[in-house]
Amino acid sequence: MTETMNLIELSPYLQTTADAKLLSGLLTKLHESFFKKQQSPDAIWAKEIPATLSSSLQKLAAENNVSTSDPSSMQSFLVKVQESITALPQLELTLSIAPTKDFIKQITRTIARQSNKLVLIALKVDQSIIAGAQIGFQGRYKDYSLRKQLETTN
Amino acid sequence: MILDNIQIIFVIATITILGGIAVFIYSILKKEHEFQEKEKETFQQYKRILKKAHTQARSLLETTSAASQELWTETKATNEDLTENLDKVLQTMAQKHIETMSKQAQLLQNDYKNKVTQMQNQIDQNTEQMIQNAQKDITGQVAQFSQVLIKNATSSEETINKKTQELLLAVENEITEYKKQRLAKIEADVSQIVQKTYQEVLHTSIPEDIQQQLILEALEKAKQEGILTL
Repeated sequence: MTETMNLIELSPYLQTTADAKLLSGLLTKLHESFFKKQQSPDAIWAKEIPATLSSSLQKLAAENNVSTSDPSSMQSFLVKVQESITALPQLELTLSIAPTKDFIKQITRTIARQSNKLVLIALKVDQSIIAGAQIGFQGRYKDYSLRKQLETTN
Repeated sequence: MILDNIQIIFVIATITILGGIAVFIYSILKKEHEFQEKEKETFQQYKRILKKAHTQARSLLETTSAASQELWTETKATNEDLTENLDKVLQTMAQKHIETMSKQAQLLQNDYKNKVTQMQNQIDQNTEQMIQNAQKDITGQVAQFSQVLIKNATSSEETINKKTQELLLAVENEITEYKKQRLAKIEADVSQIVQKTYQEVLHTSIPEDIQQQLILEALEKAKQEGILTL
């Protein structure tokens, strides 16, 4: 099994499984651009992905001693990043409301305080739980919803 | 002498005719006796034939009697001219023959009448008996048939009543079960509707900041309980 990278640098882009899917798509596009070699690496970094993401990725490459100007090294790096994203643990979180972006960040921070590792949130909205949350993580599951509390009370 | 011969011939002819008549009557009587043996269904035809035969016989007898009487009268007149000895003998003989034949004819006629009367009586009695027997049989059969009919009708009524009771019981049970199922379903539906409404009302009545707070509390609890441990 290949060793995974620490993706904390990419945490703003890896909060939910939807984010991970989007990022994975961008990395694929970037990988293809390096493969075609029709543009210079600098031009690729500048044009193919958003600047903030480009900066985070280059920083991550530097941390892992990967030359951002070498297309071949970048291809291997990008593949490894995608594999690391796929290997991230997922937190199944069922809420009664659709969370805002800020609230998702708040949730991410709360989780990170505990594990100090990057965890992807697999969000699901179900109004029938009334309030609270249902949480599933790595084979463990717990219902912290208001519906559950009311049922228990009854 | 010629006259004597003619008279003798007349007498013989008369005797022959009478004999023939006697034989004829005897054959009719025999025929009637045979008719007695015939079946009741041919009774009407038999009666008609007898009546016809009776009429014919009577007519013949009457004709014969008249002819005999006439011959006898003529013979009597002729006898006066015969020689005394022979005439007397022949006359006596002829007279006796004629008388005998007349008596026989009369006897036969009476006997025939009696027999016909007896036959009619016998037929009437037989017919009466047959009708009585038929009535008796029919009455018996009707009574027996009525009893069978009543028995079957009673049995059928009991069977129908029993089946009706069974069907009623089955229908009542089905209705009870159906009501039970329907009530249970209605109760479940109502409960579900109430629960859903309650959840929706409760959900919409909780402000968003409270919702978020409850979610974060849930995460904190999960951490405390080790759900989020890697």
